[in-house]
Amino acid sequence: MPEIDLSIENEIKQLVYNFFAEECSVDPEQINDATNIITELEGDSLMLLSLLEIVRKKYGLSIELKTLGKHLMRKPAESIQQVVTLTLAIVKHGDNIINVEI
Amino acid sequence: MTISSTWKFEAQEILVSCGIDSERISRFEFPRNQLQAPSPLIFSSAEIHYCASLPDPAKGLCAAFCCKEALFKALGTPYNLCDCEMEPCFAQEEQNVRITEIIRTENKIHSVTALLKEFVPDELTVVVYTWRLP
Repeated sequence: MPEIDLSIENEIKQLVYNFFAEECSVDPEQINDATNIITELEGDSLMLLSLLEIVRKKYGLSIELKTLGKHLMRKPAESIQQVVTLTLAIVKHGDNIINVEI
Repeated sequence: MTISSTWKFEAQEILVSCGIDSERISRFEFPRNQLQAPSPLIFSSAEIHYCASLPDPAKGLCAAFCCKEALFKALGTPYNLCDCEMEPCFAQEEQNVRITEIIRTENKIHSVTALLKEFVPDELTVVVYTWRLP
């Protein structure tokens, strides 16, 4: 797993913004940290899984969906900021995300 | 004259729960000449290989995904999606679903069955039933 520095943080944030802009066919300028991916962008679990696959390939991650699912049931990711935070945590902690308070 | 009889029924399996999911087929179209491919987080290699042999691979992947999502809703708890496999047969409604021993044990179920329907064009619906032994 890569070390998380500011450049990786910005890269991940940009990746999440661009992903939802493309998947939901909206201008990236229309998305901000508070944008709700479900009510405003009509996002769903399939989109989140697709994002996870992109992140997994890009950073060479190993994470189980069961682990991620349990984490999301405890701490849902509904806003863009929450998805960015979740993505950063996945890149940083992998499967250990279930034991980490984020 | 009194005629009476006693009917005795022994259930083979008992229904535990059900779940449903619908998805658009077009969301599962993966261009063959690009690096995109069905995610191994979602689909097993057996499912990917089987769906690739279908006349409409996207339809196959869509059905398999709907089955996995419907099972998640039926179980009410996350699981690794590759622990559930479906190789859809579009000639019939009832589908065979394979689940791993992990899913059986953790959720106290014996088997899973699924019904597949295309109510509207470009959209598939799968209903999943989980069963336990009496």
